[in-house]
Amino acid sequence: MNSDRWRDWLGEHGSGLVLFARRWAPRQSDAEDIVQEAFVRFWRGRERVGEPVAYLYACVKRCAMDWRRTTERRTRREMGGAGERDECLFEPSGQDSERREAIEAALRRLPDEQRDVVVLKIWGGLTFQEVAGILDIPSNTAASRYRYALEALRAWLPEEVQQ
Amino acid sequence: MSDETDRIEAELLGLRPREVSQRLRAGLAAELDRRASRWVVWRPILGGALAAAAAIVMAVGWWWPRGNEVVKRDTAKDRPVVVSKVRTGPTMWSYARAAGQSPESLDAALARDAARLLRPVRGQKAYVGYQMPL
Repeated sequence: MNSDRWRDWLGEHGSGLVLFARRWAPRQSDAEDIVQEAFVRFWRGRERVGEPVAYLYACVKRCAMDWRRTTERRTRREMGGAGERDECLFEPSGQDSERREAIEAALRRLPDEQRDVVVLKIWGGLTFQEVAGILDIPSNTAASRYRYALEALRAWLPEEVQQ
Repeated sequence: MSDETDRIEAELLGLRPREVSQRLRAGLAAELDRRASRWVVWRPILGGALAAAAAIVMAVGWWWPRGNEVVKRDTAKDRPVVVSKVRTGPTMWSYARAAGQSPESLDAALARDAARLLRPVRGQKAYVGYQMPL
């Protein structure tokens, strides 16, 4: 049944999509709004594309950029840049909260273009070629950004977190 | 990649992004249902309109009198030759019958007219307009 299928898609990719959208929309609720709009757009055209997962992420990127354009001024005025860092990106897990916070902080420090590649590769489960297609860059560039990002994270994360 | 970057990668893979909220699930369900039901209503209407439009276009195309032909002068043999076939339609045949002619004679008359009209033209393409026999 159609309704079950979209639920499966959302269950499998929803959290990764929201994480990806949060690059443009720091609030979780705004990111979910973006994902909702992107998912509706994706659902209409999913059968016409060769790589539906990559297309889904591309829809999120387009919707997020539209959202950013229309709300940027208002968001800047209302939030004044504060509060956007308060909401965590990952599921809190009791004993690992320190590790999670350190990784989150390091991820937020990454340049946007490197963070995009890491999110799409790690939590989107995409290949470098698919990542490159979404971000409109050569796949070699995607691979090198990923490598630079991991090296930066390694340098920034405290030693005990890496163990 | 080095072992250390592999370890970082494993660390990242161990983190789970925040689950989507019930608000998103409910919003998506409502939106997709709304669009699906709208499509269910409009699909037969649009399908019927498209089929009717296609039928009208086909009918007009079939019944519209098509009396033009392209004739070119064959310079080697010094005579005009018909490049495209004379295409007369049912409407023109009915005109021909009303004028006491058969459709075949109409086609022959058309070809004769073309040859006569094109006699002065040498080695050129020409478009010959057809006049109704009435």
